[in-house]
Amino acid sequence: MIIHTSRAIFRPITPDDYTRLYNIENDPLSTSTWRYKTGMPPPEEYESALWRQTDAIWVVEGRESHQIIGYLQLHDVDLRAQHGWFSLYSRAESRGSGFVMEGLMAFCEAVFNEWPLRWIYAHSLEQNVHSFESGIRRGDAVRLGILQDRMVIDGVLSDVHVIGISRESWMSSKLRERFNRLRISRKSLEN
Amino acid sequence: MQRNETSDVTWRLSTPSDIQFAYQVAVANDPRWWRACKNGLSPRTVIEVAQSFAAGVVISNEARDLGIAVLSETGAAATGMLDVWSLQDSEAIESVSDIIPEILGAAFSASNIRALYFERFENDVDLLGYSRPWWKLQIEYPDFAMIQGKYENRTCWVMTRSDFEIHSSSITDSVA
Repeated sequence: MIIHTSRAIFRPITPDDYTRLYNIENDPLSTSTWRYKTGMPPPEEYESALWRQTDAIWVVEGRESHQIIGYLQLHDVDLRAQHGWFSLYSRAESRGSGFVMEGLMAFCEAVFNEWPLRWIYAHSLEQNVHSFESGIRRGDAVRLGILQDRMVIDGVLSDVHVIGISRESWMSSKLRERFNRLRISRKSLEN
Repeated sequence: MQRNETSDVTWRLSTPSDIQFAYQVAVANDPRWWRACKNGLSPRTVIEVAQSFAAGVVISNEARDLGIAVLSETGAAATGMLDVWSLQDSEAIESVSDIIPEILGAAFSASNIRALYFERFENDVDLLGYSRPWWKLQIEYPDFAMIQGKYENRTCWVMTRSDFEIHSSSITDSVA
């Protein structure tokens, strides 16, 4: 599924994106709190590292700039239980801009329309969980619990929050209604 | 080989030859032993999961093997995920739950693990014995998976090394 909004394009990743993704992920500010805790893999191993335990990846691209702003991953899908896990990454200079959270709405739309999943979950470090707080306050996401002192980040113990989004709540949410009103239809793109 | 005893129930470190028993336990507990069973019960799939465990013990009495306890997801954070499973008869369930607190003590004393996690479905048989109240709830996944036609919640519990030391020493003190 490809989703266009007024400022972003949410689309499946292609191999042409790997170099740009590698460059934005190779950010010293976030290396220790992102998936490559032991350091970035060398470029020749990046593709297999990126796709490890991963079922789908979408990139968020600026509509005007065509810059990749971040990406969202669906991973560890468990079809027997009908749930999966997600992670999202934003390039350093776009954090706080809302682009990747807009991408998360598109991600929910794609996943809950095209995968037979009832729940998607994310692990969020204490340092990053503020990104989910407004969604939790609105009831679009649920904090399922906190794994206290679960990780060691730069030698310091850090909590890991487990965030859940259910198909049921996404499909009936006002946020989804608003998001879909703001989407740009295929017809208007062709005109 | 390390070995220990509580009455006639004993435990020992598992060896590759215990894989068949692990498979037998997985089949007996499908799908509740989610880590082992979620991808189906083909022997190869279950055995691959069993081979990925960092450590394991087999619990037995003089007549037979009764259950297992395994540790996985150990890593740089010095934590581990504990799975405890038994065959489904009452002798196996009681024997395994009686000896688990002792195995927890061995796990903490033989490793640098600072916290153990344990996950269970709401209607799983309780195999943690008298250590059950020592575990703290951390996560609850509503309607996690369907078991016998009904969705069950799944919870994740933690016991830190210091929690274990406090509780187990209070047991020792009360016995003394």
